[in-house]
Amino acid sequence: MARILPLLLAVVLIGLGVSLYRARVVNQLDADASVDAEPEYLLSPDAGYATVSNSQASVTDAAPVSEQQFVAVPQQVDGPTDKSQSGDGHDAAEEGKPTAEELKLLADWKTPRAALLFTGEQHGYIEPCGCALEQYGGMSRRGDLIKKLEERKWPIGAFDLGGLTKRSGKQALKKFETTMNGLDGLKYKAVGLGPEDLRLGADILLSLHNPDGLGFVSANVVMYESPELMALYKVVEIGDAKVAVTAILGNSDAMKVIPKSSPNFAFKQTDPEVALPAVIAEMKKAKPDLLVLMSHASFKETEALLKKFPEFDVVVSAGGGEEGRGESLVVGKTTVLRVGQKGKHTGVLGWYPDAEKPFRFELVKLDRHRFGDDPAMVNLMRLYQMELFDDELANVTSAVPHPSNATFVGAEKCGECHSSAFEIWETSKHAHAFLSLDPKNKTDGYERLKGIDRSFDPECISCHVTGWDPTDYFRYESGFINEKFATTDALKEMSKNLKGSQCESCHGPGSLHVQRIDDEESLAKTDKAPGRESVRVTLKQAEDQVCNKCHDLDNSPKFKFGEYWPQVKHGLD
Amino acid sequence: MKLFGNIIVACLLAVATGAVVFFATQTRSVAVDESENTSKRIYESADLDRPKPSKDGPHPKLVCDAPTFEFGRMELGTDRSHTFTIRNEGEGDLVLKTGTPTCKCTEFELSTSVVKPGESCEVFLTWEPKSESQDFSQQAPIFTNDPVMHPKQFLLTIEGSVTKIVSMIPEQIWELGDITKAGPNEITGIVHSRFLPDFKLVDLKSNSPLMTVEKSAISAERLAEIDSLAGYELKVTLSDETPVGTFRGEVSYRVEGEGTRDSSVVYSVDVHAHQRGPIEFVPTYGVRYQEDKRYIDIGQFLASEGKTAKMFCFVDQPDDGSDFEVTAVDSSLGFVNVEMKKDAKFKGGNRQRYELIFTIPPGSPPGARNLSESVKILIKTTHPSASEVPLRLGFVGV
Repeated sequence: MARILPLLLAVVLIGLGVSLYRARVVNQLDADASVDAEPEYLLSPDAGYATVSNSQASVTDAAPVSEQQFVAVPQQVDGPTDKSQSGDGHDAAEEGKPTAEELKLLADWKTPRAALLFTGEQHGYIEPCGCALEQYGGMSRRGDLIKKLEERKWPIGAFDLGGLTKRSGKQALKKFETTMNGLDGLKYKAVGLGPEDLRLGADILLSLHNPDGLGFVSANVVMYESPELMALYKVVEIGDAKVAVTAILGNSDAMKVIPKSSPNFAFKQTDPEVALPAVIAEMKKAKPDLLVLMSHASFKETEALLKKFPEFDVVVSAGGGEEGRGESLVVGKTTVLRVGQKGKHTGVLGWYPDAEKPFRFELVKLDRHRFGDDPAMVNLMRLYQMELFDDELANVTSAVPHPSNATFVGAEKCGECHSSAFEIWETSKHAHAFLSLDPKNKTDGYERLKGIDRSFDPECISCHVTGWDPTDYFRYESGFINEKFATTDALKEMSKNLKGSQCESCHGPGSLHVQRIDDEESLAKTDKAPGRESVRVTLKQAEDQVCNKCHDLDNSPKFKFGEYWPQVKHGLD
Repeated sequence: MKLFGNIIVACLLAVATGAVVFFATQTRSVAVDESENTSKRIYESADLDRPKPSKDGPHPKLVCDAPTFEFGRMELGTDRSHTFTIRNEGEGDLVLKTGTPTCKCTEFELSTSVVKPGESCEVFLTWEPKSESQDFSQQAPIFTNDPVMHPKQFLLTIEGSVTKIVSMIPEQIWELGDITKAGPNEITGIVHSRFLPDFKLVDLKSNSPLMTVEKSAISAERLAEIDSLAGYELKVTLSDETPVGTFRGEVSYRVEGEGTRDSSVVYSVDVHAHQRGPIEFVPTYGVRYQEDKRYIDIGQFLASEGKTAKMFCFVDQPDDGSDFEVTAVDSSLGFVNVEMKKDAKFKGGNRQRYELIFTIPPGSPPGARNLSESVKILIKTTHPSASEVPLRLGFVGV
């Protein structure tokens, strides 16, 4: 036995050593695999079309800053993947796994004479996001879809219904420009106008309307009383098919931005029923194979237009909800499509003129299993973040006083009294929320950042720091300011103290609370209620009004208060 | 010595064992990595979780008479439910398994997972919308062993529209567009409810001294037109004193009446306007214009090739009825030529359209001009309100 023991011990120890070594090797392999062996950088040749369109948005202009801030970060360009995107409030995407059959893309489709791709009502979602349990969509995956179809040698033409943005303001404008550059890169042929786009202003739209390339079409919206400034319709070649496309802004949607009672020189919308006959007549003169209408109107209004104008072969309508409609509808000779919102899907319509049914339609869900990233689109997203940095949107965004008139003091200050609550927070994901915006930190789920730093994006940081409004993305006067923009010692301190989602993100700024508590202590008051009440949040308030500002359907689709609250549960010390 | 020999033997054995373990696990790891690279392979076995049709039968037949349910118009903050019925009209057991709905706002459950031939299963679906949606559609997938359905899922669909208890037309922002000193600078919007037959609008306020707001009753015809039950028209008027540039204001109010859940809720709408000057500059493709800084950026170009860029200028007819003329256009940089010429094609009532053309000839010196070091452009006109119009020009010639 005495002889066998050392033998066994040696076997176990050495075996363990070999296994540990193996684990290290495998981990290293995993780590290497997570960052491309040959990282693609911003100025890679593939980035070409991400930089065209507006000359001011050129990479060359931005390069000096990019070198300091971004270029050193390798870019991850994923192929289709099964990696869950977890952590940091952006929940892991758990879903029903697709079958091999479902992974096939338009598998039994023969090569169409023309494949028309339709998107619309993107509403600012240039990257995957949405309330579905898995986050799908995004211009990058759309680029991969187009690439896959091009590899099949299909003749392709892509069109967007409009509604590219949702908000107005500087970031919405930047995103709109990025989107137009992206659509240009994806070789889109025409873009319609939605009410959200009109909110950006006619001057902005015209500065992005390329009469010789990708531009807007509208049969019934005129800017500055100058119909020639924008195209009424467009005739494009898709393979050997000639397609004439126009777009309308419906009365119901126009009412959202151009009320009839308003004097408006910049925009004039005419009832589509009045505007369309002349435009259709002009389109027919070009003898197109297909006549297409993009209708930015409620579906009810589109249906009414269909009855009046049955000559369209294809009509794409707004009003299909986020998920769109998987099936096309045939009314007379017209095929009617609703392609959803937030860029989650792309409608692919194949034209087979000799077949019994001349059209075949599939609303392709841009999921991560079938679609990887288009490197040029990833570069475009990187460029977008660089421009947010260059323009200091996270700095110049106008700060406003908090309605409570209090200022933010930082979690450290709260922890002076509420030590056990502070300890719970300190170890929570909330405390590290800011770090999770920079892929260099490799926090949980960083893969979804695609190697791009988001620390300067107001739409991102508003939920990852303290002192910002999480739903309207503006900074309160004493709120977090990124250290890159901090010019004084006080601002630098503010940057340091307010990183992450801290106590005051939910309880509100604490300065008055601190002051009142101090006053009450010094006055030896017995009733400390006023000081406490100013920052008190009940569980009911937290559930109904507080947590869901960040844990919303887009960013935290799995959020359930009852399941998440125990992870950060704390009370009064 | 014997012990030493044993240890040597043990070490050799251990290394061999460890090596076998290492390579075995490494080989397995590589196999997993490979499969991860091919999503098809990952999921080839995924449908093992799903019901599969029997090879030999007998087969079930799934029948659902109404797989789509229209909830109609719903108030945001409420939920609705519906029970679908699925029958098995086949000869074998129908096995059902729920998939993942398109939104977490949709939940559904089956009364049974195995439906005998001739029997039925109820599918209870609950929908709690989280935001307004003009036309929503959500789907609940069910996997079955019905060979006709397999491998695709059977989808139950709910549709409808979701609106707040009180809505506004226009939504979100009331845009006056371009306003002028001459006015009238007003917009009439609507506050209405598709759920409340009657409500009061109280604490109606404007947050700007330049903006007033008045409410008035809405006509029955207008209510019918917008398919609503009750509402008010709000007329928002901006003062003639509104300065040139962008205006941002807010109108707020509360709603009281039977059926309002919380009368303390303050509703608000943003009011946007743009006070035009007598001359308005509008960029064309590739030109950026910052109106507040009067800065025009024509972008980057090869200095050897030069560049021409264009803007439009819309000029209001002077109030005194005099003719508008451009008397001079000066540039602070010699090789930057600027021309402003009337566009006779424009038919715009009491406005004229001009083209403002910037020309940097081929072979000009390379260099960059930005906002702080811009080229100064001065347009001199006969317009009584705009005798001198300064602009700044930026570009990068490389």
